[in-house]
Amino acid sequence: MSKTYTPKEISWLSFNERVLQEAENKEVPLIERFKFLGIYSNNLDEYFRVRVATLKRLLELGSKAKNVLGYNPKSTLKDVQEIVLSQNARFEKIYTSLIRELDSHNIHFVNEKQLSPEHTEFIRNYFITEVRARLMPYIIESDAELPNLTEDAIYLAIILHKKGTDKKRYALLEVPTDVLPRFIVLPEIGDDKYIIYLDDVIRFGLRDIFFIFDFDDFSAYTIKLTKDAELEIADDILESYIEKLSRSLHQRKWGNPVRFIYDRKMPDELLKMLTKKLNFGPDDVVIPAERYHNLKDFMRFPRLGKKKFYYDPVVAVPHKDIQQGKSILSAVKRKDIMLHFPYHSFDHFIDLLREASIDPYVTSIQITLYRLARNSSVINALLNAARNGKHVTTVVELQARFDEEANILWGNRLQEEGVKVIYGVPGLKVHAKLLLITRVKNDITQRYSAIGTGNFNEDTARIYTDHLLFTTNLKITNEVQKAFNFFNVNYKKDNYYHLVLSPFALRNKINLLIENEIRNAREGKDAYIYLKINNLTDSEIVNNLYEASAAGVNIKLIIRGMFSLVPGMKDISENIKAIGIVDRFLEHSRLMIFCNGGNEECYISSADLMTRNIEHRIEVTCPVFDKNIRSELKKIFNILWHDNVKARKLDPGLSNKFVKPGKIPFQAQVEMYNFLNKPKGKVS
Amino acid sequence: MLKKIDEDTNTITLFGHNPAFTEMPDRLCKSGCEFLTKTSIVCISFPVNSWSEIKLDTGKQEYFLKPEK
Repeated sequence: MSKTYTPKEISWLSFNERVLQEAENKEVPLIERFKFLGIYSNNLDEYFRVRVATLKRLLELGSKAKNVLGYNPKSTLKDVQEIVLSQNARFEKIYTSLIRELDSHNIHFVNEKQLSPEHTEFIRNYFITEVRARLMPYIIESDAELPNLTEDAIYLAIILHKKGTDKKRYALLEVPTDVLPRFIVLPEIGDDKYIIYLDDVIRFGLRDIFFIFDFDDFSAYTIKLTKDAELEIADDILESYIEKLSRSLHQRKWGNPVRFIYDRKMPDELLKMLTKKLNFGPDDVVIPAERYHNLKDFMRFPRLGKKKFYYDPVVAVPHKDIQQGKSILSAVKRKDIMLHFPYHSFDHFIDLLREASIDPYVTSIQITLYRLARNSSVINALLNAARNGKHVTTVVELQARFDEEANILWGNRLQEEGVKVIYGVPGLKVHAKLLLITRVKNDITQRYSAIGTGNFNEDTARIYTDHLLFTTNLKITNEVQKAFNFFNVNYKKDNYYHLVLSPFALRNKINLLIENEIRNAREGKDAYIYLKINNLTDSEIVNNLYEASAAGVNIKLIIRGMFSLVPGMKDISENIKAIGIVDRFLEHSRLMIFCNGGNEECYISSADLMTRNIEHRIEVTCPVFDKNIRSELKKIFNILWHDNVKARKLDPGLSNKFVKPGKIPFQAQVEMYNFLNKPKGKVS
Repeated sequence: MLKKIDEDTNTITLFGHNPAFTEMPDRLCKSGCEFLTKTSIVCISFPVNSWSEIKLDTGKQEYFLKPEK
């Protein structure tokens, strides 16, 4: 591993370790700790589908792979396997201790062999009425291939056996967690509460399913397969390489298995048969695990037990400049408004859309849509606007990772109601978060824009931290209009003087901003760069930050996830300090502050500083012109920077040590809420 | 070009085409400038003594006229 560049796959695992630390943390409420286990597990699935899959594809290139990636995929994959195994061992330990702790609070997990007569009756009924009809067993024949296993689902691999004989058969059965809850709450007995996994309800009913055979002994072992999602490859590698190497890259077909997890108690004969049928070789990631897999389902753990097992509910704060029952369009016309989610309510955005949809002077609404909520109020507001005769244009990204299907459905729904739907820009994912409302009164055109760091999604706005700027500033709104012109007609690449668009200008702009700090530092002026982003892996930007550090620029980085820069190295990065915060809300906001010789420049952005965001996506980085909002954002950066409860130092050893606790605990996400919840007028 | 205008001149009128004729006033005026449709006029004043002192984002939009429908 290079000393000055951490492969993003490795630093990502370090981020997931921070998630695991939360599950381990006794200060975190009990059920929330289960949820962190769920998040860890869910993250890891996506990691294998995308990151590991990409590394495995690159392996096919042999020695050329290092030139493409900058580091050796083979040794990185080996490191990945080692780290994942050790993290999984820690995961299992935490899981066992949490189950024990639940027990001590009279909440018990039981399996099919631990049922009381009362529960047996309940489960029998549940199995017959809810589960049985959902099960589709597949008998494994020795000379036939396996069926196409559903990505990300869990299966029971079953041995059917006749006691006292050698007679055996094997079967596979998908656990239908897509239509049934993974955790079933059983009737309480006295003060005790009981939960059973759906897997065990199925185990309970195996005899019933296979009644046509003459077997009397059944054992079932969970397996899970993760497949290559083939979505990220173009994001990660230079296009010229892709073209050159596409043949060998594409030889590896979509859906190739990248990880196989199995219950470690599974007998060898069954394991060998399955891995052989799945074509798993020595380079493949085969992970022995516990009885239960797909613990990402913990993210939807049933609500039971005491209040103290959960985080206190957060009541979103109304923005000080937006008054209930008064026009938001008018408020935005008076001054720029910056919302900070989840501390501020996302309802403000929905209210803005609703107001626009019925305002007689509003003529058009244009919006980019990437990931939508399940029952999206955003979509409902847009449909309503179209019904009210507004020209509504939506730019829907079909390639939003893992959301493609949902987005096609939404797209069709919108079109049926007369909304113009633009399905992205060929070759580039539209990741920018833009809204433009045009209002024409007395022949005067007034535009209102919303520019965000996160999706227009009311579900995630409750758990992700993000910024959303409402503005009527012509310099911004004119250019937002240009961006929508570009979405309409892809050859119209106007000039932009304020908004910074990827893939056209972001790299150059960031380089210029860093160079400016370097120049100022060399002239003895104040020079600093404060970045709060999710991922920083682009090697050119990493190197430029090293140069800035060497020139004496003070650099503070708050990075949630992948982080290839190595801070604190003598003569290279000693002026760079970096922390990562993992707490109850997912840190997602992206904020950049540059000293600029004392005349600070501040930007919010939809882009991470990763090659994929800079070169392969349409992203928007927006300058903040309003002085008060700039000062507010600086204060927010400082609040996050001074966290001494949930902040981990990002160091060369990826140790994930917490920053030194201060005498007074300072938890940024709590402080952020307090900061924004101050009485009117005291925030900025 | 603006910076080189003869100091005896107080007002100049420019004629031209979009996109430059929307982008230029947008960059010169502190408040930006609306899109100039055909035959629109925008008037900008600068608080300077010499044309050479003109900078971006320092102009004030005095009026904006566009043809009636």
